[in-house]
Amino acid sequence: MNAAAGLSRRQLLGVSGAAGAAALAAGCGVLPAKISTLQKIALTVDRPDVPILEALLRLEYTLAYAYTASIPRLNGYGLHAARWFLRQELGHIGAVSTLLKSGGIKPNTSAGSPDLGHPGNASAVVVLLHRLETEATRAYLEAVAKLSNGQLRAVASAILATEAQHVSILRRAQGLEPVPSALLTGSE
Amino acid sequence: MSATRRDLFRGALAGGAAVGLGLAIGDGGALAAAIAPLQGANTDGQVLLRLMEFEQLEIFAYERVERTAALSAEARTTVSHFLAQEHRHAALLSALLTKRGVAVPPPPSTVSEADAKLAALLVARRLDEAHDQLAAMHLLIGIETVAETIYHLAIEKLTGALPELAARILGCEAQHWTGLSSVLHDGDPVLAVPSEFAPFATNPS
Repeated sequence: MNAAAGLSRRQLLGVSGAAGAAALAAGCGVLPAKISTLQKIALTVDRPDVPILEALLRLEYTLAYAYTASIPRLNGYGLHAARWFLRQELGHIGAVSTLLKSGGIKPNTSAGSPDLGHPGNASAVVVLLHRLETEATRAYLEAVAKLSNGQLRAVASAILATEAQHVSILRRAQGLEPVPSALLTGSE
Repeated sequence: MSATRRDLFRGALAGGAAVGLGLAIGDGGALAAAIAPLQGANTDGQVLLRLMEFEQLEIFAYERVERTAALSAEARTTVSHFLAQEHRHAALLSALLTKRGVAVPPPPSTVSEADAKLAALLVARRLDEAHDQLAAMHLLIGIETVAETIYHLAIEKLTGALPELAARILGCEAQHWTGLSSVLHDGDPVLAVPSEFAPFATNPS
């Protein structure tokens, strides 16, 4: 993704990870006004759950990174959605990080440098975000199938449902049917 | 689910959806005590039976709205599309129940019976009042809010491959919520996806 609107992606994400995304989000006026309620929750996280949660956290960082980098490239409806969804992805980062802490694991705090490709215009950016959200729904579906207990499945499904809603809005933004299937497939 | 988290979920549901539409709720504790959609359902068969009963209620409501409410072309198309998907959910659940030797319950037969069930689930709107588009959409959003809640609770209780199936349906129900809100608010993402966690569903309008 190229630099845009006077800020490069590197500048946008000069501080990698949640801190950077949060700092930018605050500047955009989209920082969550309150700490997510899920961040206050302590659940039992067994050892087999850890790699699953770590993978979900990486995904959430990638989403936050992508929305952050996309905002300068978008306008109108897409911009409105991206700003709002970035805020929600930051909430997901907080929730998954808290789950990992419950398991005695120090969560990763870096988005790394995900390869987002080079979308050429706002429409291509929306297509990219749609693809990433779809991948997220697929990952959460797989996580629900693998997590060791019902409590963790319930938290994962609460995030999954929101990512599915993001998919709907991003499909709508592209003129696609917002709810294409009676069963979420992770390929919408 | 821990008491704390259960309270958080239901409290959020109560506090949010009670604004303007959806659920007529005093507080989260009242909702927890009153709705308890899976209370006493401990086996997969029992949970699936509750889900099936709810899907039948959803279908009855969607069919009634489709047949009797004054809807725009967009709203009518949306309702018809979502109704077909609810039928798909019910068919899947019916097959799972049959496989377990559990009889499929009869669907609601009258509007008053369905309205009584909606009242028990703390859905504020009633079918016999959903004549115009706004009231009909609000009713269906309230029902989808309960759908999210029931499937969310089911995912915690079900075993084997069933949690994933329930999660796939939950994702669809959450998208229904977004789709119905979008009809009312031209797809406004803030209103269509009001929280980072569903069923933390609210509609601030």
